[in-house]
Amino acid sequence: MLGRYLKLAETSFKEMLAYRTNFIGGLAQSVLTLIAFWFLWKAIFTTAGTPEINGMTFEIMITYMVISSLIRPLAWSFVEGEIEYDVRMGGITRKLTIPMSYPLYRLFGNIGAVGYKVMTWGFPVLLGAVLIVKVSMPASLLFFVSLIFSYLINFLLAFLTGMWVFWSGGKVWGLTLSRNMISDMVSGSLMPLYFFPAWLFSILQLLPFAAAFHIPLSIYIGKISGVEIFSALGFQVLWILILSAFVGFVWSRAKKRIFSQGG
Amino acid sequence: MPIAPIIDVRDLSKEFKTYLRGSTLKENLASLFSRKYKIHTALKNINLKIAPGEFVGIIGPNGAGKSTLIKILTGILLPTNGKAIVNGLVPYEQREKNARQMGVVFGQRTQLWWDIPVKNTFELLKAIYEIPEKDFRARMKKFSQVLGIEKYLEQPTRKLSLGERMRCELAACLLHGPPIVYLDEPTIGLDVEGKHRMRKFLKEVNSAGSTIILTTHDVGDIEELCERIIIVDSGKIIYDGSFAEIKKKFGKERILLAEFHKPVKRISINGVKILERKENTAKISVNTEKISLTEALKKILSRYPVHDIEIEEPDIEEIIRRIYREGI
Repeated sequence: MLGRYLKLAETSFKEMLAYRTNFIGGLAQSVLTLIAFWFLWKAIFTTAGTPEINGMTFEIMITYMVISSLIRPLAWSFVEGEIEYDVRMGGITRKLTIPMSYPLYRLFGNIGAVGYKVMTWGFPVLLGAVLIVKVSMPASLLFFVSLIFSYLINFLLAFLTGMWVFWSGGKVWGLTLSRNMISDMVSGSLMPLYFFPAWLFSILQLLPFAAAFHIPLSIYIGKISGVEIFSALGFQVLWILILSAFVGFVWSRAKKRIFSQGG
Repeated sequence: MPIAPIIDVRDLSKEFKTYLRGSTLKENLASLFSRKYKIHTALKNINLKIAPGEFVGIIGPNGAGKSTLIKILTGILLPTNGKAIVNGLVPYEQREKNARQMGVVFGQRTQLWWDIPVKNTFELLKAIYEIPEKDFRARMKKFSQVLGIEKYLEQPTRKLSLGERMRCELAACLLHGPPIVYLDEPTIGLDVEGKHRMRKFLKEVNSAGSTIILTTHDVGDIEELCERIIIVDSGKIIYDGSFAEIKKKFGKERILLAEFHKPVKRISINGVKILERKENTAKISVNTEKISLTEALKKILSRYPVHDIEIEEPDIEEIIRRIYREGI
């Protein structure tokens, strides 16, 4: 049963291989963003004149940014675009003639594509960062578990946004952009949540965006450690369950729409 | 005992709501708040039984409801009224189960992955439908021979011509050996040789036991393949019967093309009249209910200065055009 989903991931991995030039663009973007952040935080620390800001040294800050810049593109899926394309071009009906659930079809297709990104670009950038910028290794290996949960949360959020296309009449791009912007602001991916006022921090850390970025990043740099890691992982699982239920509900409504209107 | 039908459609109707947006800015803005719609009936009380192993052709003008019917049978559209049962399943209630027992080709929509070699899609389908290795090999071998697709397997879909793609598409939909096959415009874009090959192949698939439902605009497909023809127009079945019968029923008028030594303005034989005239040639219709073809020929030849005369085969396309226009 699982075999067919793995084969789907493999096929989509092969498809990514067909667009080899894509990954050079992604790599370049990732490296350039890193350089920009390096200078930005260098300037901030120099101006501040203290070795630590909000409990983070410059070295920890750079590690945080490198890992964040690795998670961001890995977590950003093309799922919304794929749903939009399926609906606009009518391919959705074709996919429903296959004995497979559409959300799972999209999930495993996406896993293949993400696997490709991890292998061709995640690992090289991480290796380069460890060797050149002296980024530290993860404080706990549970970071990788948290990373997988982070991927799932991002996928579910993207799938939810993508389903808007069934009601918007074919366009979802604006909403995708908004979601990415909100995520960047409140997830801790660009600015660690520790930099926000305490009251805001306590609210933001409850959101799924924080579960996707703040948690794995904090585990990596050791800000979340020991038993706390398990409750953080548990919190991620909770969001995965909530979002899955939500996706299931909205998808059943979307399906009703396709099935009565013909896609 | 009569054989139970593999497809059983009862009083099936389908209505679509089309929301009206209006054309002026004011109407457009208003439509944001209260949406007006009109109801479009795509299918009206369709009743249909298809026995296992039949090869049925469905034809009808654009928008007649052919695709709507196919979509309901393939489980991706919910009927407004009535019921469809396909091989014991209600397709739109048991979509995934129903999907396992059917193969579909939508001529306009590919199921092959665009940027990777065709064989990768085939391997994926093998996993999705859990096709045993032995069957997969045997079918691949057969399809390669009969459809001549071997040389395309290593190529990404985007590099194939439409005809090449359609052949791969057909192979893809038959890989799991489905008992029911729906083909929506499968010969679209094929050249004469391609069509011939595909038709030959479809005949084989049918005689191996698959029930095939074919919708097409190409009457040639139906003439060569289907014993049974269903004509759909404005959401209703206006004809359901054998192909031969329709020819007989509508082939009452035979057409002669005659060339005379000098212009002939009119022919005064009962049941014979000139349809078109150009200098010395004329297109003549013979109503075979009033006069037999041989009798008409004899009379024309003896009374008029015929240089050459030719009998046109009854043209099924012309017949069908007339049915669309005038009804049965």
